[in-house]
Amino acid sequence: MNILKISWKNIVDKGLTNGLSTLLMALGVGIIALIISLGKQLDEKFTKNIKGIDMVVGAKGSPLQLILSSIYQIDAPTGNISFAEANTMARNPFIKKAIPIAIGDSYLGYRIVGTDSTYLSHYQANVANGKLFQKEMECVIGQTLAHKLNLKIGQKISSAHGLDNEGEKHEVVKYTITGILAYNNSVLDQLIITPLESVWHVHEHEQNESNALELLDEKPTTEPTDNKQITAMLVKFRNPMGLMTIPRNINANTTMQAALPAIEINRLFSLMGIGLDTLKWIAFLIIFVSGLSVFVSLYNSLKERKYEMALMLSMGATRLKLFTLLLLEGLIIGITGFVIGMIMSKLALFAMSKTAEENFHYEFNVLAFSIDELWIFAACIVISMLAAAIPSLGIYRINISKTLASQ
Amino acid sequence: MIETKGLSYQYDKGNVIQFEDFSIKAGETLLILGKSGVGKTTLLHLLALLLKPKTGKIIINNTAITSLKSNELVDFRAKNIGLVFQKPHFVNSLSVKENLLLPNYFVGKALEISHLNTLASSLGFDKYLQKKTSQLSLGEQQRVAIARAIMNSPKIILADEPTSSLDDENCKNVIALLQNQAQKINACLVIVTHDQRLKNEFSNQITL
Repeated sequence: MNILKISWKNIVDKGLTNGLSTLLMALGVGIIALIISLGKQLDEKFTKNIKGIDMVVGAKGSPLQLILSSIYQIDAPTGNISFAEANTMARNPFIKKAIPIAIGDSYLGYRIVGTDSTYLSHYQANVANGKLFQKEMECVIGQTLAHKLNLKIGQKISSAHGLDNEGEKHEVVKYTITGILAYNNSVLDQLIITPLESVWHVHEHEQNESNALELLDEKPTTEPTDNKQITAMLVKFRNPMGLMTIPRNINANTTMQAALPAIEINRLFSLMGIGLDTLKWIAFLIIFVSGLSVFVSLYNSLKERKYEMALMLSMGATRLKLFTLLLLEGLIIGITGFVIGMIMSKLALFAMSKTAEENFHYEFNVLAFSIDELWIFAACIVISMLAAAIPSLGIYRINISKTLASQ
Repeated sequence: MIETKGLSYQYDKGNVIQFEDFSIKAGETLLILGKSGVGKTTLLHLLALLLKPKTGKIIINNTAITSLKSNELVDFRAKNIGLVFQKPHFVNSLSVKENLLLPNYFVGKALEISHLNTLASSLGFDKYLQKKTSQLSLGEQQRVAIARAIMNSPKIILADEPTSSLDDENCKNVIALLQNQAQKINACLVIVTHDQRLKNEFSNQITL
């Protein structure tokens, strides 16, 4: 027998009312925790992937689409641009680094990105097993992808046209996996990365399919020519002058489009942010209502249990002990609500992660711990204690003799 | 042993009630008989240290308890006084067994499970220990309430109208039970009632 046990028994005895208060608390906590965790992980992934990329140059179209497809690999590209034209632009002295990428093919829904080694060094990728590609039709693969598809070094894979699993397969020319990258917590984890020439080679082969076997024997061309195309070029400026002049110049005077990731992602986040903020406020309101529910429940409970309280006082219980007993009831509701809410938020995040993984090959870390969760816990404790403390003070006003005599 | 001297109480409205002096020894029973509103419950609550007298003294085992401080009173009551009420009330969320253990817990004594089992067995409700008190009949509830009052082996048992809602048979049973248990632990038993059926049952009585 202890005070915690009595509190718990009292809560269970009024299961419906206290269950409702707990559920309200859990709902509020669940929504807030989910929004915070989701927002943080999205922000982390978006920020990490655009780090060091000031501009993306691609075909004209939606700038957001260009950025989503070229950096995050989650949308269809806006089209292709001339590699020669992009290279001319990249020679601008204000440009420090320009990384060409060519996308359009995939393997079992995972994108194949044609690029050069600067793409890997930009994301500070390390090869965990095997080695980096040395020539065309060799590739390295991301850790997540290797794990998911159980791919091994030396294995040959054939790409499919398009970015989903429905496209026509390029069965004749195959990629050889030479290395598996270490986990990078970036877009690289889900990509197949190969030299640009591989992508051109596959598509040249496709154009002349009747001569496929002959083409395999040809020496690949590594020099960019006028008809070579890429999907986009990821650019880092040498100084702010680049940012001030180059994008405007590209958009006004070329067939290409320049999109600025920082601006586009900020715009995307501010649009998403309105919805997330609204949800957050609704969740705070739910937690407040839950606190109110605890207050009303304990207030009514104290009225109903006044005789019980007087009885316990007559048996030697101190008022402080009974005050603590009622306070504990509020706390138990708050803590239980927090625990259930956190489980709900993790389950919801797991479901969202599955959907995101299926559609975009992005995952969320369901077990990620955030310091904000401690703040939510503290808020639950404060709200439930306040809600319980106010009615519990009634213990100090109970007249034992009058209460016992009134029955 | 209980002894009162010049005991009076002033109600909120200002009227004062004066009680005649009495004394009872350990193992004895005192019946305080009177109609409703004459101050029976007030006297019982004074003896239970739930009310503070306007004047007079209550001496229990040579201790003038009216001079004790409030926290000492709580402790004294918990350790020395067992209370039985007209309607048996319990902490509804707890089982019979847990209700019986409450006095031990509040006093800070080790929980006496074997004592509880013996008591439950002798009062015939040992089968219901895990049940909620609301699942018991009124007679069974009254027996549990008596058991709770004597769990700590108090020196005084105070019973407020313990028979007024019971039929004749249960009335006799409850009184016999109270007397029997009080004698077992050598406690003073004070019963206040308006129940005239008890008038001829006790030689030691006061009428208010």
